[in-house]
Amino acid sequence: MNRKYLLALALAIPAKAFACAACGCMLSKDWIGQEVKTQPGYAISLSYDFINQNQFRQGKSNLSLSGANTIQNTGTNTNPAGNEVELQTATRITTLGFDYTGETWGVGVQMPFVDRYHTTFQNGPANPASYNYSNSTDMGDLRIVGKYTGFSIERTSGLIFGIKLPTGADNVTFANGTALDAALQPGTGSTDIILGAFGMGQIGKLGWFAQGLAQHTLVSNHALYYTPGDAYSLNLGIHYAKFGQKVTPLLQANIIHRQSDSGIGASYVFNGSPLSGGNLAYLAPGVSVRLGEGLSAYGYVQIPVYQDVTGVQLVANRILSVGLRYAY
Amino acid sequence: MIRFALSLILALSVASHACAAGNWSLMDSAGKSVSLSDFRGKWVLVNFWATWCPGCLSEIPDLERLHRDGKLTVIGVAVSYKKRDEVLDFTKKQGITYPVVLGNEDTASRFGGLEGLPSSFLYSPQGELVGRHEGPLSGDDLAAAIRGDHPL
Repeated sequence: MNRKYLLALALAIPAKAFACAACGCMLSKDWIGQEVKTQPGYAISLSYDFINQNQFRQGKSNLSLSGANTIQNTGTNTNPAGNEVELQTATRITTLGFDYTGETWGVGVQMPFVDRYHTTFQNGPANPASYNYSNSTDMGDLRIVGKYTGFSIERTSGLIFGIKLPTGADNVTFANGTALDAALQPGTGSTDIILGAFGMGQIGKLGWFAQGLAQHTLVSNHALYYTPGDAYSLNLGIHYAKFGQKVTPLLQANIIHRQSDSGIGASYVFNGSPLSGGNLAYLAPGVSVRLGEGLSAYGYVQIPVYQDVTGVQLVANRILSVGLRYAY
Repeated sequence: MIRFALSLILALSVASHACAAGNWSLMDSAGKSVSLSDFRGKWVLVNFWATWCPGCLSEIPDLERLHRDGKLTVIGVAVSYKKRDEVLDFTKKQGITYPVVLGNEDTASRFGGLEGLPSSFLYSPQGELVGRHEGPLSGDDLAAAIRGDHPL
């Protein structure tokens, strides 16, 4: 699709929003301080992530509302009606997971339920009447991820391969009935492939973990050809590795590179510049607690230490993740 | 929300400590419940081991001899195994007659966690934890600990 056609279509649909599609929880949920589950058996998990994107950011700098509005409506960005300036996106994701680990192969299914509240000025804060919001609670996209750990007898390294299916809702609307941006829908409408590798070990009494993951869209079934940008993440973790320790302090570093989304449904400003993607790094201190009989709980707080976003986006100052896991 | 989550985890952690190392009850590989209170009046050694751990294997003959002699009751807790059959076959080949529990990190957690393998916990005939030891034990070490000549 050429750029001219894309811009023409952009004029025909409601003003584009900006959203931090690159943000979101990229913690490694496989490694919650107990271990990557390598002992054969089953596990059921329930996790809850809270992401409150209410801070404007352009590139590496924070912005005020008026600063964001100015940038959105200057130079080649000018739109007679005024470009959109979002206010807040609060997302609560509850994920039900089921894992099976065999001797060398394993498979896991993650089923997210997305509760998202989003507010915006569709024609900028200079036009208060353009204030709009959406409030949705829907199933998100199902992920099925396999792992192979047969490279060594200790099973301390492995490959990850999986698929994200377009099971989530992608037709949520604003309160006034207009379509919500594709990047803010519970589901992306795309089928993505997930590939990665992990390794773990011990240095003295510290256990370490490293996991690299890549996610790429194979097929987009979105009505507006929305295609999420490729995402690459590197998760590094350490914990105090006493075997069977009841309370384990944890620390993860999460480095994420996300390319800008594409397709007509992606977020652009009026001149066609993308408003998604970026480079992000978080530190995530946390704790896991062994509750006995296979049950464990964990909690992390993801703190951004580096945020370089494409265009103007909303980012979160903190991301909270808590969860329970029952292994049997 | 963050404060609530951390408080919840802390509360669960405190509650989970109710199961102290001296009140344990374990299920052995034959499905029989093994509790410390079953062995009042006897010395009891809980020994964590793994089939792949050379130090664990080196102490098994002495543990087996002391158990057979009736000087103390040994309860082996196998951990970090791939399959249940791996442990059962191994105990059969080694001629282990003392009870063996198929354990995991939760089992270790009830004893306060382990720094390494093998790890052993010695209980007096009154049911009190009188010593813990990381690393291989000899029959002489155990006999001396039982006599009170030196700690485990």
